[in-house]
Amino acid sequence: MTDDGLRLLAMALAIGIGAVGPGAGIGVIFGSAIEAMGRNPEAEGLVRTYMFLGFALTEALFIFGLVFGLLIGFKII
Amino acid sequence: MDKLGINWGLLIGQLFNVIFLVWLLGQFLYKPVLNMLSERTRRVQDSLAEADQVKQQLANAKKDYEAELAKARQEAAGIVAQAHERAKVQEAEIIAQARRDADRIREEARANASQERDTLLSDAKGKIAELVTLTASRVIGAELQAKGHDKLIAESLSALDRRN
Amino acid sequence: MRNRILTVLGVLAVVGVVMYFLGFRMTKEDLHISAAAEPLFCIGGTIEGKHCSPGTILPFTNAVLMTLLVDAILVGIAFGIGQRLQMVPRGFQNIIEFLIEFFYDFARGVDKKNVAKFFALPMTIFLFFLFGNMLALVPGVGSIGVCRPYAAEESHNTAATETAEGAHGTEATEVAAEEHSSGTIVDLATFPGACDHKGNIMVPFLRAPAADLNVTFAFAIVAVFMVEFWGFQALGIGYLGKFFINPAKEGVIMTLVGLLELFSEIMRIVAFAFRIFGNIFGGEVVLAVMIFLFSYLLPLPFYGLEVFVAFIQAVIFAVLTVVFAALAVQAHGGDHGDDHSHAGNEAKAH
Repeated sequence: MTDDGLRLLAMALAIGIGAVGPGAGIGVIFGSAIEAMGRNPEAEGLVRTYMFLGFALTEALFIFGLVFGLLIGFKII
Repeated sequence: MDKLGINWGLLIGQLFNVIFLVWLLGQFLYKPVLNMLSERTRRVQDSLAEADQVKQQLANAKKDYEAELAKARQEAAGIVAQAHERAKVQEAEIIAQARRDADRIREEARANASQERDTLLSDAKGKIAELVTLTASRVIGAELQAKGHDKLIAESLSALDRRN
Repeated sequence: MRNRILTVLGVLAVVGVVMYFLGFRMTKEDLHISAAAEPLFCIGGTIEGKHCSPGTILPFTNAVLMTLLVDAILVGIAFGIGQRLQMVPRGFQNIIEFLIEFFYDFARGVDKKNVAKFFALPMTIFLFFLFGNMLALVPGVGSIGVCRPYAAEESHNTAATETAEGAHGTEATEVAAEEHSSGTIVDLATFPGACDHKGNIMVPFLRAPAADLNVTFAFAIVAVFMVEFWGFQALGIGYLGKFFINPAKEGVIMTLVGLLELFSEIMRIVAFAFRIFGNIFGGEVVLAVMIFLFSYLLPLPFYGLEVFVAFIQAVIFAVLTVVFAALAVQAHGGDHGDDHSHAGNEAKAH
């Protein structure tokens, strides 16, 4: 296997595996948020704020994976 | 580091940029805007309170006005009733007065009339007596002494009265 | 209305497919992605391809230019609107007031007592990244630039011959329509103003500030430094008690947790910087790849996503700064949801 092939494989794995955890986490966050909004519609604004906070924190993990995947794939590191 | 584009000179420059921006915007944008927002909130609250006050005053004024009006109406009604009463009393008074006047006038008239009749009768009696005397003396031919025949004259007069 | 939109989209899709097969498409050479901001010119040095020569004092990159542009806009807002506020807001003043009030209300919800002290930094972060990210999505930013020789000389020669070969391409667009089946491809590199990527590199004039690690690290360092500063200001030397916990009093586990918090405190700089960099740079890469795959209509939903990300990442950076600051000024134990007396005792103990 050539060096380029390894790099592409590494990029694909970094992005692919990196998306698994945050994908499940974002699902949990939005599911819980919608459930909370359904239970207590008055708190919708507050729930939405914390929902996006959690979404961003979780998504950041995937973004790290994406960045490192890109850095590997485009031969930056 | 180099591939990621981190450059110490640029990093320090950007740090100064951040500090400059925070200071400048904090001084010249957020402070006036937040002051303006709180000032606006205050003004809106003030004007709302003022509007409430004005509304309250208006309601009070209306209540006062209605109370005045009711009082005036009552007073007017009272005055009218009083006037009615007084008018009735006066009417009765006037009628009574009139009746009294009429009675008095009638009495006077009656008294006058009877007095006049009496006068007329006494006059007539005198005249008749004279005439009787005159006639009798003529008839008898002798001049009857007036003083000696008083009894006769009185008798004939009373007979006349009775015939009357 | 709905039908009209669908019709327009359908027509665009058909036109896009036709254009694609005519050859109006990106080649692999057009797909140039650089994690570092490219210098437009170098102060005290010369440009060597994508980089400045060693010994350069300061490379003036496209991200620096964009930063200055955003600075100019913000300063213009501060003096154009902040100094001429009207009691009855009109036009742009509404937007600025809305943004400031929106964030002020949020920050007050997080920490009512210290909001006035915290407010300027997160608000500046929010406004800077909001304007920077949104302006970076304006068409032309990142796609208009200077063409600069980059690769080695031999590839430059082949590029020159190919350019000569496709020189008739501009006029041949109509001809190419008939010749479609024969596989003639329009060479976009021969268009006026286009950059021939075979041997040259296109350096855009502008680049999103958040897609340059210098900018994001600068903001992250200032934010974390100020958070720690506020922590020390509020709690004095007792602020260190959050991280160095006596193992004899509260157990070894708590000591380790405290050290972990200290580590995460330092890692916050990296997390802050890479979060917004990754989102914005990743978004640009995604858009570039989508344009490379199929330039017509396919990038549209991703463009919408990027507008959302541009806003939400600016909010996230600012909100996290406020939240961390609010946590830092709280006495130890308060952030674990303990009751007040316990927190008070612990604060006294430290």
